[in-house]
Amino acid sequence: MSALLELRDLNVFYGAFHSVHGINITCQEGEIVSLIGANGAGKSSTLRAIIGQVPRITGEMRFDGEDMSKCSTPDRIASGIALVPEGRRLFPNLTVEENLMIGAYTGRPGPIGLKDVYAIFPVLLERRKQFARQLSGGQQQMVAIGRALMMNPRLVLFDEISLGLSPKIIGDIYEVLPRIRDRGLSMILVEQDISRSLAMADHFVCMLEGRISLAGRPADVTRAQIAASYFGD
Amino acid sequence: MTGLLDQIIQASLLGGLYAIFALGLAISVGVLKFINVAHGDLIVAMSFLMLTLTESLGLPAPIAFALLIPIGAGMGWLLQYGLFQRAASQNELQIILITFGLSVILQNGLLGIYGADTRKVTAGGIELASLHLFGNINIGVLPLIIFATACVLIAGLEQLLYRTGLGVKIRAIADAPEAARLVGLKVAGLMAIAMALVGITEAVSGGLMSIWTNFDPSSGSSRLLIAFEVVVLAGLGSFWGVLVGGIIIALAQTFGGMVDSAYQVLAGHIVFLILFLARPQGLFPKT
Ligand SMILES: Nc1ncnc2c1ncn2[C@@H]1O[C@H](COP(=O)(O)OP(=O)(O)OP(=O)(O)O)[C@@H](O)[C@H]1O
Ligand SMILES: [Mg+2]
Repeated sequence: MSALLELRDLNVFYGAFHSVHGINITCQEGEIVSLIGANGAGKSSTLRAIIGQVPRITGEMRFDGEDMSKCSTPDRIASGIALVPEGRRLFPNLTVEENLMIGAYTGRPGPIGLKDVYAIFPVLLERRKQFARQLSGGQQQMVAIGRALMMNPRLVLFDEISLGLSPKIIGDIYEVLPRIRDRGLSMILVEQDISRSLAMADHFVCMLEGRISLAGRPADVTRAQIAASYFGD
Repeated sequence: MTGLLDQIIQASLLGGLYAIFALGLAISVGVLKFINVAHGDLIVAMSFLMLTLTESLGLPAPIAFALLIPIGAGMGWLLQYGLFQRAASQNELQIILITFGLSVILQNGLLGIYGADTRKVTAGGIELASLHLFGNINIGVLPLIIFATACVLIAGLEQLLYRTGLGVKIRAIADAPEAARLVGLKVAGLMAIAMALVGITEAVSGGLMSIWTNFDPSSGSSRLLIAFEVVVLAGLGSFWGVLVGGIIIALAQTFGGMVDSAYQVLAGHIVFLILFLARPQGLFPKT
């Protein structure tokens, strides 16, 4: 059986700057992969490469066995990959509901709709007519996650969904992830909060300066090993 | 007294034409985020096309007008894909320079093809028809058609942009183009569709203007100026505000003209300046 996502020898370049150096990552169907690393390690670049939004990429990407290396972002999203971007990246002057609908327009056809998102995040139902810019940070993050779910993805890429949020809100948002996994979705989780992220993950990948410094199952490594590969000493 | 009322009604109807001039610019500024300096010249080009369709090909004005609309849409779409799209990836100043160049090319092209003469399209008497309202107030059928067209266009655009999925997508790319790419919106294609909408408003403007007033290859700049003033007065994102802005400019011109015909155009600009200084964000900004 082939993996849901397979990255082979992935390189990312911003002009002359070589950001990600030939990494390999595999995500099986239904798995949660935790991608960790210090600031500037190349985590966001990797997620953006998977969605096809970096200036230059080399290497191979297979999704559900199919070579998607040359595919456009709209094609990747339509075939079942969704990104919850770093910094949420909502449409501030669109309403909550319009923001969510954008996911439905660009994603795959499937069972997840507004009703399901509102069931997961009831506060968004109350605020569905408000502009996204009028929401709190936590509510905005819920919209960003909801928008990705509306794409009916098979794989969701989460880029630092807890950034800038209070512990209480982070807890609320993290409670949702197991429910998403229970629907059979796979996830790649980029997170600063390493212990929270590793606690959920089947696999982890630690990046350091654009390269993979450690990978495996969270249970198989010690804190010291992770710290060493995270900080590079 | 009825004389004054008559003037106000006529001016308000003329405001409809100014609003149609401005609608296309409102879309290109609000959605595509650039000022199309060639907007007025594209309108004038459409007027000349109307002239060719009616005079050289002998088509009746309504049919020529109906043909103009898909041509305008196609032209807008092609301009965006073929020209503006390439410039947009460079920087914002460059795209304005390119539209400036397009303006010069259009003016000289029209001059070469049609000559410098002032032209007008005759539409078989509709220009002269009028309806009797009450007292000695008559309103022209053509101004009424123009005003109604403005209302239909505005209502249609509001409906399209605020009530359909396509409209939500277009507003999304206008709001946050980077975010739009990250969620898989086809930004270039949506921009081309938005520019096709602009092209439709240019076709409607050019078609109606060709029947309403005289035009020549250099008429574009005054159209652009009016469109620009109306858009700024309206505030970004408000199409009904564009109609109000058009009426305000038309009223100012009419009252200026009553004082002295030399003040007609100037009065429009002065009222614009005063309102702009008082409310730089426009009268009805949506965001
Ligand atoms: N648009 C860009 N242009 C040039 N360089 C970039 C760009 N985006 C990222 N980089 C560079 O690529 C490297 C990896 O950045 P990336 O954002 O992928 O890191 P990250 O692991 O997500 O970091 P953080 O934890 O701070 O979000 C950094 O050195 C960064 O400066
Ligand atoms: Mg990052």
